[in-house]
Amino acid sequence: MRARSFVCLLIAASLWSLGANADAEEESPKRVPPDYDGRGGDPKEDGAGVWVGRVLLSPLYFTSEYIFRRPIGAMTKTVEHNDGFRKIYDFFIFGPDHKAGIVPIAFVEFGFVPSVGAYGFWNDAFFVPRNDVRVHLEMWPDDMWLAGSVRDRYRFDDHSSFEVRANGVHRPDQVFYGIGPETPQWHQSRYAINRFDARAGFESRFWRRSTVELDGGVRKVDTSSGEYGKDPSLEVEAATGAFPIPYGFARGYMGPYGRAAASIDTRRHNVNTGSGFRVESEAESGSDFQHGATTGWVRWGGAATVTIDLNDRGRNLSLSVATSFADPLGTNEVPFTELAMLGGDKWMRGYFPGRLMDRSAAVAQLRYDWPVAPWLDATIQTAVGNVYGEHLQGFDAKLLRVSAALGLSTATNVPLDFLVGIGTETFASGASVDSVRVTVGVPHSF
Amino acid sequence: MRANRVTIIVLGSCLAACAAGDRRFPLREPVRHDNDSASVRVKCHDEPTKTDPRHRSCAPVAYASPLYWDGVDNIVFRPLSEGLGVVTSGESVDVNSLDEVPDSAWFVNRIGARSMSIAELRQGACTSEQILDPDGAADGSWIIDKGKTEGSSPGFRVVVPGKGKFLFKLDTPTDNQAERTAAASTISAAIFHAVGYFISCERIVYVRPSVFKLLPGLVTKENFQPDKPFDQRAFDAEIASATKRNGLVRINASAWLPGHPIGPARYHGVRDDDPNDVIPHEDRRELRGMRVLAAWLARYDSREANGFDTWIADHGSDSSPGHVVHYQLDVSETFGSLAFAQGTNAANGLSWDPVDRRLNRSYFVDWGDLARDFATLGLAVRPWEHAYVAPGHEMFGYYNADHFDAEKWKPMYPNPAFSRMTERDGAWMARILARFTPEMVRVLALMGDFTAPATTDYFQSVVEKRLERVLERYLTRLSPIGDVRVEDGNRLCGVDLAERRGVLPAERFHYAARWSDGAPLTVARRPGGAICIAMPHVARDDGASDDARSRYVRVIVEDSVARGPLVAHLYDLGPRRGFRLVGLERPEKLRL
Repeated sequence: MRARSFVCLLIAASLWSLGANADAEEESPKRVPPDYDGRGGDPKEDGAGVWVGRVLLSPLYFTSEYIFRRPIGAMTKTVEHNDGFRKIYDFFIFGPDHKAGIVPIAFVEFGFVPSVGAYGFWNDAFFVPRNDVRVHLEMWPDDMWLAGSVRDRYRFDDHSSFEVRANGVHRPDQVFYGIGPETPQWHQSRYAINRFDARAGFESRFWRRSTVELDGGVRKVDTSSGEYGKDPSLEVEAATGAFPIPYGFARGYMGPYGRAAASIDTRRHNVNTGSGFRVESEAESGSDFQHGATTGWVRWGGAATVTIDLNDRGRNLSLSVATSFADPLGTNEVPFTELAMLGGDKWMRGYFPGRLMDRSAAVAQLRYDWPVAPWLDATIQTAVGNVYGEHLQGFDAKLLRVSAALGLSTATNVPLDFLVGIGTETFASGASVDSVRVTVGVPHSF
Repeated sequence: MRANRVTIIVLGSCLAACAAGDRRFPLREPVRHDNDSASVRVKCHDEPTKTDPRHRSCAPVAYASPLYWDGVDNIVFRPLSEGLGVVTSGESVDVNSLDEVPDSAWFVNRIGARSMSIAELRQGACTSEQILDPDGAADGSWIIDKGKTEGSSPGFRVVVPGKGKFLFKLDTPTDNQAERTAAASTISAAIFHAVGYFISCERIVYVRPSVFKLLPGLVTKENFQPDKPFDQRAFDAEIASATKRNGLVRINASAWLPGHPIGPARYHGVRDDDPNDVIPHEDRRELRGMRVLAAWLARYDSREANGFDTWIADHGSDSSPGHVVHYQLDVSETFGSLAFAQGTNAANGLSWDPVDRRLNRSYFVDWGDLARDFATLGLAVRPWEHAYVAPGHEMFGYYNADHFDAEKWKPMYPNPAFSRMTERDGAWMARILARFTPEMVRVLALMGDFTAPATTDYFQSVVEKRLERVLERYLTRLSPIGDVRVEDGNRLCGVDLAERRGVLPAERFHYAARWSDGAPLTVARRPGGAICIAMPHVARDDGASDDARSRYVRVIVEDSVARGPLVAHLYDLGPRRGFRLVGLERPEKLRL
């Protein structure tokens, strides 16, 4: 009786186990890989050199694999699984046709305060076709540096447009070395600038890349003591006798200005291939109503460039010659912030922006650009030039300096640049390298 | 005493060395069928569905390929980790003694192992039941029950009475490549199937819009886009923009794959929960060698998301036991798809052309090309700068044969299996592709059903020339002799696929054969690359055991074109039983 009961219980338990846990049948073990060729396969032997390399590189490997690849992979897959990238995209680029958006940007230039910010765009803004609004904000909280611009451009067609723009900057780290061709690097000092500019302008591209631009507006500039790292402020350095306080410092100016520019450029629009030449000229008149209706100045200049596309595939070698001048109108001098300048993002890029300033400037530049990837060009450029007195007074070849730069730049609406450049002393002083410039990010001047 | 000790040590070392170097093929049949399609059980797991929240699945867990991470990992992190880890690779693992790939859940030897009729080539992966007859369908009888949920081309899922489910994709003429998409799907699927891969049935059909009936409440989703309602208005808009012929909409019909879907297979590692999956995918020859096929067809989108695994359960649905079958999917970007719309985006002035012309020639982000171009100041002319769109044939984008270099072909971003392809893997695929005769290439071109005959002719010429380039590269280094067998017990026969396919004129081929000890053998040659080598017996019927070393012989065959010989390994079982072929090697140079 007991045995029968026990057997019944056992059978019942087995049936229950089979029914209730039918899916708990053991999974099959991994099969043994077949010996496909009967010889155990082709033996792979890693030499001693391979093992030495593995041991030596193991810390880097473990960092790459376990600190970066796997955690980033897990996080990326999770975000993707939850449709996170599309949500992020929709957050930054929004609207029914994604015509508006905000893109984070940053810029680092060694020797200056870095910036982080945002670039905003709205195509067909205010639901007006061909009306584009752009907003650009940069800042760095620690040093209270702040810059921004708002631009509304209406494109009449693919050739011409009308634009209203306002931009302002407050930053404490602008460089000043004195005025003239022989300012030494060790006189580096800093000043702060507050600059506000509002203007309206018209641009027309009438033939290939040839353009005409007319604009006018109001500008207000104030300068004061600046700071960056251990660099002295401008007036402290001036007090040592390094240079006199420049005209316009701590004085400021405000007034209307007008600008006209024209260029003849034989190269085709919207393609980066093809040889050609370009002649451009520009003139801008400014005024300072704060200190008298007759106070003003004019900046003017021009450049000529010959470009040869070495194989008609965007390997562009160009030679440019440029001059610029700043002349006073009336009795007062030209404020130092309106002088002819070299350095920065246009001419002699191996120098800091505003490194060289005086009443006139002359530069010759040889530049080579070539594509290294879709929308990514490399550039190598070298220039000789300097600043001089009124209308190149005192021009002397021995006072020329050399600038060289190597970089990468994306050919996108919001460009991303990486640049390494050097600048030298004058030939008369030995032309030794006395400045290095490194920038990475979205440049201010875009 | 000391001398004897030394002698023993030296002899022992020699024996050990000989044993280690003695890699005879065993006397056994080659592995022609892998057992990875055997039924296995996998661990059950919760997999709630809309209709059954408590559903448990006993199929492998579905894998969702991460689109962004797959690209970023293969472009940045995997190469970096493998470089720093000094990861090396060797020959493929799943190669049998005849230097071939056994039939498996990944690959079935078809055109490479037997003759294939034109009718079979044309049928592709379709069964007779999957051939659609839109003319005979009543209005409203084809039910659209789902919108397309990924990809960039418009389409929808359809249930066809008596035929099953299909994914219909529309050819759209907006990008100058009308007709190419459907043609590419159909032709490439037929090629993939003929080569041996598992792939979906793809056909071009012409359908009148009234045959469809749209169910309510459907949504559609393109890559990088949110869900959009797929209602009658959206459907009408897709139909209006689709390519038509005589009022009928040209559609690429793709039959639904059988089995329970479990996502794509990766090109590296194994699927942990598949007991049959034990060979790392990057070491599988059928995946490595696919690179050569992809180069021929310009399948730049060879990433894991374009593969598909299904679980074939013995008792249906997602139950265990069962086995996984590995499919290739979505070959519609072959033959010159431009990844992005041609022309400039007017708002930002950017042209996508720099990306499009690099497809199939450089990775999307190619560190090597970038560094090379930077360091050389861009002075070298790069392969994509030769790329051109043939006037009148814009449909095929930059797909042409001029300057095509099969060895330097690249997918959109690095593929772990492709990156490990060896010369032997490439030669294996080339031996298969050599079976596509010019007549077959013509048939394939006609399957594209292009409106203009000139388009078919142009397409055929490009496909043929590219195939010739592939064969010139991969059949002239390792021995191209295939179909190797023993006839009449004492003749080793084969076909020089390079000669048969006309890689070079026949008079360039001169055959020589010898035993491994150098003694010459007579080669009889027939037209079309067929050769036979008479082998005098070196062993008797009786005496040593069948697998004795004394019966083991090697025959070396050279064709004076390929750099390396064919080395056939045989056992001489005597005059009565003849020779038994047990192994083939195709070394780059002879090493005995």
